[in-house]
Amino acid sequence: MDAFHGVTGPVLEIRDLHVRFPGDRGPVAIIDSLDLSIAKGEILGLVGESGCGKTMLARAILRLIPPPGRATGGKILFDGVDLLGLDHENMRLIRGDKIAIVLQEPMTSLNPALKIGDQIGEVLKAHRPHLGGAERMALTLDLLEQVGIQMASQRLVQYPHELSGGIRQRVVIAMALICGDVRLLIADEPTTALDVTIQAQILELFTRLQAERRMAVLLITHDLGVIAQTAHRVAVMYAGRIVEIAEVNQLFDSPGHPYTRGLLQSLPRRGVGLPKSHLPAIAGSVPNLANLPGGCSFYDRCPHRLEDRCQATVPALEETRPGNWVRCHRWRELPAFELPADVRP
Amino acid sequence: MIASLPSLSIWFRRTNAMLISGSFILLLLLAGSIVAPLLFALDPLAIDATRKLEAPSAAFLLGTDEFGRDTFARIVYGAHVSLRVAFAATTLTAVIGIILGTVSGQSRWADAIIGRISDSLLVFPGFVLAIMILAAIGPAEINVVLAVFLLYVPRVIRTVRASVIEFITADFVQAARSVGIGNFRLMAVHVLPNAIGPVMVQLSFGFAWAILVEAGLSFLGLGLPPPSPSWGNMISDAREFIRTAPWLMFAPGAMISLAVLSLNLIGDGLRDMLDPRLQNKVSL
Amino acid sequence: MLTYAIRRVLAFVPTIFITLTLIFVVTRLVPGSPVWALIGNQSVDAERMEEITRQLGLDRPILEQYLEWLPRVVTGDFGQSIFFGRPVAEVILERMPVTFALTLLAMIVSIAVGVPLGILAAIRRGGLLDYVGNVFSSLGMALPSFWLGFMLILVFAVELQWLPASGYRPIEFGVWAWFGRMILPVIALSLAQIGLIARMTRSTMIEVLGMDYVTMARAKGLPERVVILKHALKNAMIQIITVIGLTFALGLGGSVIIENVFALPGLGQLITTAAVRRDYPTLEGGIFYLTLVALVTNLIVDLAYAYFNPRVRYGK
Repeated sequence: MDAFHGVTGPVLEIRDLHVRFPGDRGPVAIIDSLDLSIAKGEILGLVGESGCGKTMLARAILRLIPPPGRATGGKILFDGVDLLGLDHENMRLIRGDKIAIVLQEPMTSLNPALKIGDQIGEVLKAHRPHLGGAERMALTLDLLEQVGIQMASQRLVQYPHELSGGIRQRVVIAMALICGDVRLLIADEPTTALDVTIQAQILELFTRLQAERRMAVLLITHDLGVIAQTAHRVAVMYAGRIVEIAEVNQLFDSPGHPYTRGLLQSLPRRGVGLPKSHLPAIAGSVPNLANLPGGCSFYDRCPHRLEDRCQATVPALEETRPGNWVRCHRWRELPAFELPADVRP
Repeated sequence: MIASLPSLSIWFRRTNAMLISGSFILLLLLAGSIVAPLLFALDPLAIDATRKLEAPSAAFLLGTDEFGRDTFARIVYGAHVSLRVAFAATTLTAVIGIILGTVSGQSRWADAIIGRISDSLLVFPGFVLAIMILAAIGPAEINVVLAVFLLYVPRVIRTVRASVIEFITADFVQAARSVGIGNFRLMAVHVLPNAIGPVMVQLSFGFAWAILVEAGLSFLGLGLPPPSPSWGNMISDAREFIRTAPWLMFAPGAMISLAVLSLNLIGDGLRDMLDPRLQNKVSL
Repeated sequence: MLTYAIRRVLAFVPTIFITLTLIFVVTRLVPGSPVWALIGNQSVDAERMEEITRQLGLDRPILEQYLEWLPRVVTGDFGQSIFFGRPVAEVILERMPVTFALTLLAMIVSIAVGVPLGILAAIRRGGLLDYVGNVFSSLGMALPSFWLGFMLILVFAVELQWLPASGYRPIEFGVWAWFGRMILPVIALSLAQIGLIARMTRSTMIEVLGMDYVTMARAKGLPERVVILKHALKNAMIQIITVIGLTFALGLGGSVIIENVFALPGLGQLITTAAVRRDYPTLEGGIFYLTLVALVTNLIVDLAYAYFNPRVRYGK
């Protein structure tokens, strides 16, 4: 896929973001000094195992970190405005209008006690108070058709439990985009809970809507297959830090960080196993964020580790070639990476 | 996952606080009721016609009642009576509840019968069934125990039954069965220990509730027959003198409240310790 | 919804029979004959005893008594009160309004205070209000209601003399004459219920506030008021309603004691009098009607639950 067509300045720029939760022995850094930017019209994939902080990042951008956690430092610049500095009302006006989110579980992200039409319509009520009921209904119907829902007018009066998983996720997408002015769409594992055929349809819908509306998209997933199909650029997250950023082809052709390599190696082989990639099987498990090792957080699981250097200091995120940033002390010394041909997603 | 990390430790601390303070109050009550008779010459039944309805003084810490009986002595011995009744009822409930719950969880036809009966016992608005039972069999300590037992045992049966059904299909139980472990041993060693936690929680609340029911029944004249110094009886006796000797009313009510509060705290604490997710879920 | 409602109402019928049977069994199968209640402590010869026993039909086999009793009581006829010498149904009907007023008022107060308290505690979790609410509800559930009643009398009637200590005036004597005498009993009865409802509301709200759809509601940019009252509360209500039903049953049980404390001539007082005097027809009738009220409330709660929960409302 050809990245960066017609990209202008960043829609979202995160600088040195820290998110912390109080723990037994002092605060625990869930997100540690994170820098990231997404350009207009760009789909940025964010990959990592569960618990690495990707969902917390999504919550942080919307300023919806569950208490007692909070963003303790850094900036989240949205069109140049620092979201962390906004008052509650102005933040609310951005949510759902300028920045929207689609959550993993369409089953639980819709309110079981409210009708579909109401759940979509109330977004307009909150952000377009001048619209009347009929106008809201017309907009809703139109969008439901756009996201591929048939018999849209009947759906409006149905409850979530009356719909199938795929339709529910389409409803959630419609709910996210109803304001028509969304500049950044955060999709947190939007297809994980769906079965494979539906998954493909929803991804297609995503890319189509993204292209039509020139939105920036932050696509959070642990599924490299999804990334390969949709993303322009990829950020790999591990234990609260970005460990690699690369353009999507770069990443699959020559991954720089040992963790990224591990993820790619554990992809299922074509013809064998499941088409849906499961949690990558890298030896060891995600470290406990409450007591991270002093140096590189991937140290325990890394096949290329060096006792002195890697344990001593946290590696910096370095630009290894244009567009490719890697957080590894040994990036220059690592052997060339060869991905088995049948693994290519 | 990560969000629950820090809060878990907070709950652990808070749990201990509730459990510890509850146990502390209860132990204090128990210790006081045991030690006080050893230190002072206390007779809850001694009548002294010359010292009726006296206000609290050095001689009578909590005053005297209409027969000149020492309120402090009656409070201390009231603890014996009230806690004894509640304890007996709770123990009976525990034993029978665990047995019937286990049977109910294993056999379908037993479940049908036991379930039906306990459901119909639960139909009655709490206290009313107790009144009916005591009206029928007459006021006596053992009858109060029986009534409390009948009212509370359905809840214990339900809890045990749910645990048995949940664990009887568990892999480790199936494994034990496949190596030929007998049914009794299987239940006693592998299944029931898993029910202990929830049952303990429920019995704490049950104990507290038994104290309240005993007091209520005694207050209505359907509980322990006078002159037994149960706290409920004392409140009942004191009502006539609420204008002239209000102190007679304070002490027994405060004791009931303390005992019930301590047991509720223990129940809350135990429950949170077992399952922090259930914090402050009220068990009914 | 309609099928569900019909099913629930039909399931109601066997419950009534079981309740009645249980009442019959408990009051008949135990030692002690109600004849003693009639004759009191007078010494009566055996012949007279037998005569009364025969009159009451107590000499016949128990099954026969049951088969005669059941069809009669199903129509609401519990016979003559031994103590009052009047039909039981009449005595009960006279006293129903008092108990209704007491329990309903207590219920209204409990919901009006308990639900908002629980919501606020859940929103400001760990805050001062949460803490105060917790202490309040713990105490509310620990204080014996009848003792609390006496304490209220002591403070507001004896010391401050703001309100009458006890007694009852029908509403025909004027609203204040009626209401003034209901205030203290209602407070005494509702405190424990407030505690229960507040705690349950709090924990349910906390659970619901952690759900994805609440996060989603916030992420949609809805005002916090809408998030709490529409998205969270509507779902929490489904669970809160069941607690309210259970609390009402508890309140009915509690009203028996409270009516005795405040000398309110309601069903509870009737039941206690009947129990102490072993007036079995009145006792049976009183308990049955009280239980019936609890059962009907439960039915209403079940239907309300179904109404609030669209999953039940539409078939499966």
